[in-house]
Amino acid sequence: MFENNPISKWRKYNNNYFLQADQCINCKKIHFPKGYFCKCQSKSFKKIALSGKGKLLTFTQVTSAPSAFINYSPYCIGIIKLDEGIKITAQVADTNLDELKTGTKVQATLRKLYECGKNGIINYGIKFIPIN
Amino acid sequence: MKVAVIGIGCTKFGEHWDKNIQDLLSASQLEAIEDAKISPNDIDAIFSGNMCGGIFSGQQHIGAIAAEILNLNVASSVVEAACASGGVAIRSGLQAILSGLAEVVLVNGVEKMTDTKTPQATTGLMLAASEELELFQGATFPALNAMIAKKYMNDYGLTREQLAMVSVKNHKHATLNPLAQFKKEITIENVINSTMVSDPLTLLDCAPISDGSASLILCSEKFAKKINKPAIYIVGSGQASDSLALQNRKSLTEMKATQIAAKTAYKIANVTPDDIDVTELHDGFSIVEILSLEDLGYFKKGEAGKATAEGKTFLDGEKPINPSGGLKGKGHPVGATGVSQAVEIVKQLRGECKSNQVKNAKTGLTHNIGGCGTTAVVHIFKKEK
Amino acid sequence: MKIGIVGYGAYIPKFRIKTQEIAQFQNQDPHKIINGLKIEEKSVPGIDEDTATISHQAALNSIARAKIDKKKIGAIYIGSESHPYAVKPTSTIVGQALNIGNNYTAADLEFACKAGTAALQAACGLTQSKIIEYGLAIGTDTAQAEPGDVLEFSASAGGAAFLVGSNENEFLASIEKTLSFSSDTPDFWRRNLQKFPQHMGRFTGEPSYFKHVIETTKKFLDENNIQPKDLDHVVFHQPNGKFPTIAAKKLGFSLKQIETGLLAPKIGNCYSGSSLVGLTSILDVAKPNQKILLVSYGSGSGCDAFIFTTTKHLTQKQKLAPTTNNYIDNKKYLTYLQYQNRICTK
Repeated sequence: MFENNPISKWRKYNNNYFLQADQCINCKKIHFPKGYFCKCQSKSFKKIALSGKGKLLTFTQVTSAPSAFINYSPYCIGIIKLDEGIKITAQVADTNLDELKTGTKVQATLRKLYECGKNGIINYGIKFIPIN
Repeated sequence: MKVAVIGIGCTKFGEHWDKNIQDLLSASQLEAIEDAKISPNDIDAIFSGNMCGGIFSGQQHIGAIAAEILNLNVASSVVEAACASGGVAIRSGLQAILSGLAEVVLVNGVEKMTDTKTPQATTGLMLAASEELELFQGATFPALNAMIAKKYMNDYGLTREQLAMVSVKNHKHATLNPLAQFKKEITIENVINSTMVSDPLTLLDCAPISDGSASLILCSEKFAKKINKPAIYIVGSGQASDSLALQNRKSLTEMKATQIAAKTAYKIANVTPDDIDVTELHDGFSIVEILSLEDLGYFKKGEAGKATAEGKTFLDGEKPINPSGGLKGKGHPVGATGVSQAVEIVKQLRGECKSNQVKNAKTGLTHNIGGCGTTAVVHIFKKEK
Repeated sequence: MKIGIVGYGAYIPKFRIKTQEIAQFQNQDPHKIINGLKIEEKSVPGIDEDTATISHQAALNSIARAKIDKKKIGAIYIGSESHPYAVKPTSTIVGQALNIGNNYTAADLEFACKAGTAALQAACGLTQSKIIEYGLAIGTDTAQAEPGDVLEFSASAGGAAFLVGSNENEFLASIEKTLSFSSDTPDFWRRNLQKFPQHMGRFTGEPSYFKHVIETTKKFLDENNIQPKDLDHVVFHQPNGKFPTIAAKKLGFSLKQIETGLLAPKIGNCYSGSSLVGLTSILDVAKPNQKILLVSYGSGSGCDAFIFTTTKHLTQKQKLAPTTNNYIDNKKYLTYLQYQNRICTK
């Protein structure tokens, strides 16, 4: 199925392996993960690196996982507001539900997302860990 | 706007182990044609809502199946907008008639979901969300709605009990609907103690996986009068979209697409939220009913939970919501839902419902969303005087 | 030899399991095991961690300390016994994730627990000969041990990364000399496609670890006219908390000289990362102008020995990334069942 296709993942290595965004050259608005057409009508963007620091806006724990993630469940997932103002959906690793609350400070890190069976490619991506 | 609904058909919703897409579709189509008392040859075009035919059955191009069942060669296509496929199929039918390109349109919604196991179904439903930003990160549909619930509870003080009351109500209504998937009443305790799916949403907060099909025959006002069929009329329609991924919404506690679609429909129909006597809205998860009650303009922001707990949205309340049992009680074969909502409203306005009839219903509203409020489509129905 | 460490960093996963917890499941006396191996607890990788993710975090820490333009990294060598793929390099996954561009050479190394130091030698060679400007050498493992085997008490996870360069003004520690010893010794091995390694019990002691470590160290110190007392810090490969102290005694080092780098009691044996995280923990606290001896050991077998001299630049760089102790102290205990769930994929 589509979740085991390595080509579509390779296309997005630079979006999945580290946090970067496009900034509109004209009005400086940040587009994440990619900019196509800015509200100011500009089509020109430059890449900016993001700090990876942010706060949990909301979160939950997945216990009924999609096929790809069965071996990794249960896991916590949240919507994180990065310091740059962008929001990202990502797992919160190394933690339990009772250790998290709205506003918990988090930091991005590279982790395995899932393996495509015993023969397929290993998908890596960004997760967040709580920082004190 | 005045497009007539002259025929309705709908299968029971549930686990139809012995039926495939074709079986389901033919059942509701033939029922609607019979109800309209027309010949299949009167049909000029067919629109069928379906989301998961490809991923669950290896079957897309379902428009061809719909036409072939009726031995027709007419224009027939599939409409897909995730769980709003049915509602958007209705709108496609409307547009065909209002443009003059068709006089009689068959609108279907069909879904076959129970051939899979839960993890594959979970993956399939995420077709409605963002693959790159949400599914790839491990998010599931329940998880996305759970995060909305947590934020809403955090911001507005909605209690777990108030949220649970949504499912209690919808199950109660479902026991009165012969086509519904669930036949048992449940309590608030049942909801809170059922299996956790994604904190805070439990199994009884979530619409089930179902098979089913629903159909409508739409026609121009002229055609309805020609065949002398008293009709229920679609008098307002609105559709809107919002960002695909939840992370890109301005607010996590309201659905802009619903607000815009509803406003447009109200304007065209020249009605206000207070004029709506009966509503079928999209309670894919209990929290979505809470948000939708506010986004449709029925209750003020932050008050829908209290209103539900006070019984205002029950069958005998001041604002009856989901007399069919909603998605939770009636079942949610994704592509079929939007059309089945219209079937229920037409029945209500015709006065054909038995135990779940809303008294004196003259104006009805359907609200169907796709994704987490990514697409929203609202239709307003009126009983001809 | 004008070559030096310009950046260093470690990463140790958060999870731990206590020796006594494993002992209970093996039906062994926990006190006997703890006294015999001198390991209290070991690190356990999260179910979403592997050699690539651990190496990446260690590398990020090394770049943070080095403060160099990471696009000037000309080589990445990662030594491990637990590369995620048999064919597909960990080095390029880490290179891509570090976003250093494409102008670098890369390869994965294997030499049991000394693959990381072999990576360091390779990076030094390319850098000192000015073929590249900076080299990144990493030693990381998420070690495997068969449930019920004695290795279960020690096989752990962790990694360390070192950026090497040839500009003296950037050295945090100069790499003075290196010497290696290699042989064919069947003390510990893992065949292709097998999940767990085999070992020859007591043979892994005298004729393997001790013979190689002691002979290599003696030769190294002799050739360079160094007395044991000349060294401020000493770190050996640490398969457990006991072997390094025995080797130290035999070679005339004091326990004080090895104590900073001796981490096995708290994190177990992270194989290719083992001696290297010992080195990072020394660099975290070393003062300028101190001499460090590192002798790694890899089964199969061989040793790589190094002498480092710290510089005055080290002090201001130590706190630019989490220290080895920061990671050691940031821990969460698992039960045996939780531990098995993490290391056995379904």
